[in-house]
Amino acid sequence: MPDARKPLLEVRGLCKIHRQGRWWERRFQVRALHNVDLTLDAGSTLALVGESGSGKTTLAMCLMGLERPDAGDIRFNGESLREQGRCERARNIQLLFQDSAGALNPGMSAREIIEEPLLILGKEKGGPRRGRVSKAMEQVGLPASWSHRRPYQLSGGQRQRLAIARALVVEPRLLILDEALAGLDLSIQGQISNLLLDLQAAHGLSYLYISHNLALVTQFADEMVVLHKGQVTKRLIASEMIVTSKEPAALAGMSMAARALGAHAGTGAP
Amino acid sequence: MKYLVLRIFQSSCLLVGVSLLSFIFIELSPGDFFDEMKLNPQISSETLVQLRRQYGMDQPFAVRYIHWLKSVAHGELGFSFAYNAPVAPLLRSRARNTLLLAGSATLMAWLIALPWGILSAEKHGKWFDSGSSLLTSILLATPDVLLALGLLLFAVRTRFLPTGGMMSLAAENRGRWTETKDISIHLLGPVIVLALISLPTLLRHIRAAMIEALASPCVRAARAHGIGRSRILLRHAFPVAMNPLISLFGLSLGSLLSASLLIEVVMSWPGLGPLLLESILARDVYVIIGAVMFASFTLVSGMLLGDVLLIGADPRIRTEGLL
Amino acid sequence: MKLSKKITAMLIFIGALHLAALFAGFFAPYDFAQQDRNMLYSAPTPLHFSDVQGRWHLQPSVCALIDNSEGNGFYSEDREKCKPVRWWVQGSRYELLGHFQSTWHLFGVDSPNRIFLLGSDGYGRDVFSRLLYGSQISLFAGFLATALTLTMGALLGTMAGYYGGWIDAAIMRCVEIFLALPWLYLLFAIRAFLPLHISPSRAFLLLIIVIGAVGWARPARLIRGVVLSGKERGYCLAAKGFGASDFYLMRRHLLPQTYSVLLTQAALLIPQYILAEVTLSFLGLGVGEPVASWGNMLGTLQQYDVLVSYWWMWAPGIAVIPVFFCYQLLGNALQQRARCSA
Repeated sequence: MPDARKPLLEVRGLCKIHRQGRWWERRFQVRALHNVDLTLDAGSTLALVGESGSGKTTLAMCLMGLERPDAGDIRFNGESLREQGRCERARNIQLLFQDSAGALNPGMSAREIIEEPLLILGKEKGGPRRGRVSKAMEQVGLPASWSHRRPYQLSGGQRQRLAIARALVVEPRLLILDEALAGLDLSIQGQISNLLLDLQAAHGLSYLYISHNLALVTQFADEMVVLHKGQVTKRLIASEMIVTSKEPAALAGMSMAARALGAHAGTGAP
Repeated sequence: MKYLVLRIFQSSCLLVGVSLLSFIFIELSPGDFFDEMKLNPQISSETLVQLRRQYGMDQPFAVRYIHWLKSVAHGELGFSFAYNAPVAPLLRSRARNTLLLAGSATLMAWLIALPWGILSAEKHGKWFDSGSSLLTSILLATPDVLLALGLLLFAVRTRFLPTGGMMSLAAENRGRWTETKDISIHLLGPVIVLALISLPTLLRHIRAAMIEALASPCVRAARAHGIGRSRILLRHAFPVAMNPLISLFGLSLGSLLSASLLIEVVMSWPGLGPLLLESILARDVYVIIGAVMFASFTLVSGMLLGDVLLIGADPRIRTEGLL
Repeated sequence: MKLSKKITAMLIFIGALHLAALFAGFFAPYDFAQQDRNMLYSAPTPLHFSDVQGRWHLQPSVCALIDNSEGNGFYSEDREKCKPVRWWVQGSRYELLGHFQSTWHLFGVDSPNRIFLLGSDGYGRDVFSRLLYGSQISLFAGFLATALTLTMGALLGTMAGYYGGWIDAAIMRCVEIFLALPWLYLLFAIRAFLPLHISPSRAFLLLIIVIGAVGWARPARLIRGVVLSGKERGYCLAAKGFGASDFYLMRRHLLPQTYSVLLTQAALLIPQYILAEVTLSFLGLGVGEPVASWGNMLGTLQQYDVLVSYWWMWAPGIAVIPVFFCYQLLGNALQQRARCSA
């Protein structure tokens, strides 16, 4: 049972260095993450913001086990992620990408895409599996008759819904959204954000929302952490998320419009 | 400059790798030169053992390889059992003939393909282009052997061309000019066949490169400026098309050398081809390795030359630095 | 993998060709080694639709040939001794697919008349029959060798692209070494170091292995490229995130992407490899007597008198042209398809 006082996700002192070029060449080492600490409580949304290259995606990859951190510890529900197997981790944490078209295999149908995690994790037999797939499609608002459609036959918003269904079908506790709403039309962004909020309320999901778009973030997040060149430079809670022109350079790189929008967003926390 | 040095170093490593590969093949193969002698009842097995020891064939792999490397350093490239002489002099004249053939064929092929390809690209879609495509397809579908035999038949029937060899007896020692003329007429047959073999792919690539160049924005701009047709073709489109074509040159060298191998044997041109075949049938190991190394050397040098030409021809590579 | 109607039609045609080759024994009136010492180098026997009295028949007939007394190797017909060509005859025994035996042939003529549709060779063997049996060797050598090359190339290319690191570096260096040799030289070198005098069936197998092993480098490099770009795609990362094993990723997501490349490469390589077999057999390094292969049949054209006088001996060389043309069309269509969907 999740302990209400203990955070769901705890990251301590995470470090990651990217090495490019030949292994003997020192000058191509880039510090992607340096001593990153963060905590996420169950059922809440943590926003991770920063400009491009600040290490946000690297952090997501480390949490997903797609990259190995050089130092530091990640604890999920009190247990270290390193000790958990790939399958354990997959059941708890899932990732949504920005580019929905790239995240879905163009040769697979919607049903096959959503079914895939269940196949890999070897959880269910045919019948219950199909049931879970249909349920997932229903939850994200995709009609069951579309289960034979391929990604190229769907619009951007519909693809992202499909990706959400795939992520949800394993019933994770934490969903990482890596710029998942970027690249969509504004109205679609609104629809998907609402869907995500509904799902969070219905299933008690936690979100780690990664973005460089401040306006979107302030709509949903309970807390915000700012990353700059791999280091955490600022932590804010919902009520503090008002951006004025006096904010220090850590928030530089956000668009003027986002800044202006943020000025009115302080009250928007769910 | 640094890039060039790096490439030369890479190429040398490559050649060493090729030689190692060839030696490994010998190591894995059953039998050697002296097996043929085993069949002769008059030669005792002790003689064979002695012969093997004399030629160092009973030594372990590493020792033989090092000996061969030393021999290469001395310019000898190993020893031929069949000819009882070092390999290098044998290769020298043959290699020269092969290069003569390959070089002339390349020249002829490019001389025919360039204008034809450029014209085809310009008349893209019209009957000239479609007709050429059909012709080249049929040519491509014709096996090399058939083309060579066909030319031989033509030579025999019409007596326009000699039917083989490099020089006729009558022309020997008759002075430079007669010899050259004689060699040229003997060269013509094989060169025509080799050029016909290389022509289809060459033509296709030239046409494709030119079509792409003609569709590029800079050519469209030139046309909008009212620049004349031939000037556009030569001064604007062609340099753009040069880049992929130079790379093509390097790549097509391999197939050219392979094709020349066959043509030399069929048309009795005294190049590396007949020598290689002979050595294979006689299991004259070091000659085989020597010939293969030479072919590899030519190919690698050709590719290097292609890279150098590319640097010269495409100013973007020069200024942007090399990847 | 969806294929257009045009491509499917061509694939069916090529399949039909190979099937016909498999049934060579049925279509050929004679066995490939069956000799008739009285009829060396005879021209194709004319088919007559009218008999001696000048009456027309639907069924063609073939007349006996007599050697001209001058002994110059040319034959003339004896119109007195004509026999009709019959369908569904019983003839020499042959094997289908190595297991089933049969004696049924599509057509034939009673002895001593011979139906040499494409003449006979220096041993009195029917060239048409040898052409059909030879197609088995030449076409299948190309096909099987290509299968070997593509399997090796796909395996090594996928490993190099997926695992990266030193595996990638090692495989790529090998690729460069193999590409630094002109392919025919490499082929000769490998062939040179293998036993020269081997039985035809062993030679066939050896040929497939040698030709197939020579060309793995280029496909491997192409596959590596596809795998390299494919493994960074979102859906591979997502599947990895679900805990998928390397093997699953390669099988389910990466390999299907390579099918298009493999098919295009196959269309390019098969004719090249058929040519390689023909070249090697032509020079005596491939499949030998008495088994017929288009290569060793063309080999006899190296003799002056055969080259000049006996035009029907060119048949194997001419037969190659439509086969290659078909593969060419297929290759072009596949490349077009790959370019459009890219």
